[in-house]
Amino acid sequence: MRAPLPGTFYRAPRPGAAPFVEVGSLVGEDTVVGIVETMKLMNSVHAGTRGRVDEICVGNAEFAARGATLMRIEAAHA
Amino acid sequence: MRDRRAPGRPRVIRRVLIANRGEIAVRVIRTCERLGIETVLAASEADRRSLPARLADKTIVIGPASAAASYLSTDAVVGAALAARADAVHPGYGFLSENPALARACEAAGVVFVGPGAQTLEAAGDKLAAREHAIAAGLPVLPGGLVGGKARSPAAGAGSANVACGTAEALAASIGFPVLVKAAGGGGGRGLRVVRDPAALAGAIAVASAEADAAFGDPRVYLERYVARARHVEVQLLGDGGTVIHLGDRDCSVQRRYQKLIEEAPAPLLGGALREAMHDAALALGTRLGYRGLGTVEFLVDAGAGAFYFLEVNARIQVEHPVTEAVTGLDLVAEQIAVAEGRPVRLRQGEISLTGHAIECRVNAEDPADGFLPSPGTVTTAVFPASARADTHIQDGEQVPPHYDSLLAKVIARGPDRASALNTLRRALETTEIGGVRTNLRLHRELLASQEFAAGAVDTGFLARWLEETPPSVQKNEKAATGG
Repeated sequence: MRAPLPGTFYRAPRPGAAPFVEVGSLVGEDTVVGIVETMKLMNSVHAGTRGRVDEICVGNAEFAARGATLMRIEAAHA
Repeated sequence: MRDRRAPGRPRVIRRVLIANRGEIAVRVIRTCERLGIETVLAASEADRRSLPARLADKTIVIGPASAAASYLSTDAVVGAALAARADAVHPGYGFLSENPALARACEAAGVVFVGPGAQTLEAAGDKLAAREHAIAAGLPVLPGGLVGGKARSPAAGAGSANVACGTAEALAASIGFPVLVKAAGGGGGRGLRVVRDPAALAGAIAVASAEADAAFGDPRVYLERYVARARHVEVQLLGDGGTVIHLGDRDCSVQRRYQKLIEEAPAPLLGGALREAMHDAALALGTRLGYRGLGTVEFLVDAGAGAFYFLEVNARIQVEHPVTEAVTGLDLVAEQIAVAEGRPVRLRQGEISLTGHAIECRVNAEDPADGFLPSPGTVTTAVFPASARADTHIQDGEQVPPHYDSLLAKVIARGPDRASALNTLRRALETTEIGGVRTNLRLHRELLASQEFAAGAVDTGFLARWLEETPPSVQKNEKAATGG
């Protein structure tokens, strides 16, 4: 799962809150898994696929370039 | 609470540290050059080769791209001011411009802060305190009150507009739905939420309070009556800590999600008595605060009812200040620096004359055809009109970093009346061209062509309605027209 925009990646909806997902979390296509802040706008990032979070590649509040891999999600085999 | 500099001779500012970026940094440099003041730009890593960095006499990199570690770091800014041996810090708008801690740190370091004193910044920054000062100064406010607490204020109980608090439900019921939930520490449209249904009130308050706590370190929220069709009109003030004058009004009703897009001066189609009452109200509040510096008092205007209500005070120079400059002939940055030096306001109220009309469009790096998605990148083309003023930091090859807001340029046209200012602005935007990043230029052209805007006096819901009614094809064309 890649960053749709360049920006600062946040794993939680606000400082101190629980992260949207952890490694092992089950996600659906529309599950919000993070936020990318670009030009002071908060953009929700959706999983885009159904499956299980395998790896979180960018740390909280770290900058991610456009297209950078944010997470790896193992697709569910229906 | 007078906000005077230590008595004595004015402190002449010979070198100023500009703790900001983008178009406002260029704007401040321009005036400093004219006044013979040396400029040192405090820039982040991302902005070290920006236009203001090239224009300033010197640039000090104060931290990484992330604003939290650079433009929002009081230590980095004051450290740079001391290292540069600057006489003053100009904070621009946004970032630390209304931060009492920076004002205090500057004072402690013996550096002039170009803005109001820390006490005034605190009074203006706490929306509840500002509201209570407004009530005490006799300004009309919307019915409202603090959720879950008793008012702690210099003006507690001064006005019937402050509803006695019980439960949030009782408070909202006495105000009447819909109500607006506002964060005391918010401002600039942040931390606002409309509640139409009493059943949704408790949830909205809980979420707003948690968000406000995270964003502003202040969980207090208050309720105010929500006015659906209102105009946003503001009055420009200039004070020296004793004398306060006003420089007329601006209409900033063309907004999207509380972000202003088009501003003009004077506010069109406002009755003379209403306009004068608003000017007097702003002066009364400025006088009560012993205001020093440039500041704006924002009002909601219910034009149908001929009523206006205090919203908030912006204790800094504003993005839209050029429209006021266009109709007053003043250089507001120069006036701001003069009072920061400890000089009295150089103009009497009677010497301020407003001539003609001016309109400004904010050109942003965002794509209206794609949900106003931000569009950082590298600018490949930048052409600005000769027939209008363009305040910008954008040139061919300029970087538009993803770390900061999306403002690229302000295009400001003036004319002897509103119709001619509008015509000049329409022509100016036809010749304005920015490539490499997506912009809202085409949206501006369409808005300026709309009959409703041309008629004047639109309310703050105008843009949202216009976007909804505009055929998708028009918005789709925008993508093709501005893409690249």
